Amino acid sequence: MNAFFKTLFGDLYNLAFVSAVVGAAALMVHFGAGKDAVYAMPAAILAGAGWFAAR
Amino acid sequence: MTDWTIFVPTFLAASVEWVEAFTIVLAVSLSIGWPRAVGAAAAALGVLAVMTVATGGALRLGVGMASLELVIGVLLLLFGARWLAKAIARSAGLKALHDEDKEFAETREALSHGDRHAAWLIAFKGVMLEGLEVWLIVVALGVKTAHPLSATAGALVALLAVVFAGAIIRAPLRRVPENAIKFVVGAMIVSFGTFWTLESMAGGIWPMGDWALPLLFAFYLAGGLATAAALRARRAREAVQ
Repeated sequence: MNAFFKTLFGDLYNLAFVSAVVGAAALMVHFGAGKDAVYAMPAAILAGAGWFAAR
Repeated sequence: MTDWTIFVPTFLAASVEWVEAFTIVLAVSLSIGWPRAVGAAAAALGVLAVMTVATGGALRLGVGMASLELVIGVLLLLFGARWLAKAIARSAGLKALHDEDKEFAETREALSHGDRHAAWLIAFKGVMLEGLEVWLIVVALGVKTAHPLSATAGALVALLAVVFAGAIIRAPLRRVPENAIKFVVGAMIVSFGTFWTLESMAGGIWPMGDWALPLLFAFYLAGGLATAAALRARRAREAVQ
């Protein structure tokens, strides 16, 4: 079961990172900064992928 | 009619996973013979097919488009961010490239301690776990775009191609450029994930509509390659010091 969840969702760091990015994007959209979110979200995802790669 | 924007990422992602599954089944076949090893693989593929039909149908039942986009978008981000990170790390030399020969040797070693039943389970579990990633992509891309046949066809054509190549070579398929494929597919998957996640929160948020997708793909691919080059340069500097 552990392998099943890890295959689908990755480890806790991955889960926490994606949750944080999606949560931040939701807040930006909610507070009227959706136009900025379309640039901020890809930048955050790429920065996160780079950090995971270097980790 | 085939939707190639769905078929291509599914085909590429599935090819990588089926090659890894084939290596495990090949190693197991040397212990318990082809019929039983193929039987284990077929059983796992059967479970995956049932899962695909069941989850594809369930996701469309009574779920609004925005909720569906959010669930699928987040799943693709969880999955794609890992693929992209792994591809960057391998390209930068921070992580070893996936080695089918090593995987084959490790599976043979594991089999030397077990019985025929354990060998069957290793083949089943190997195909099941590799196939889970294919299942996720087929369901996510197929359901969201209403092109389940294009997504399923991509996965099945990849399976047939790997089985055909494997039947001819009868050795681990080590020449598949796995990391290049993972780079491209990782960038494609995070692009779809980013697009649908934000679209679910505010419809029509993307300035250029659907044309934002190829731009996102170019951004992630170029950004990933640049990040890998920067990490490689940093590693070289650290090695000199």
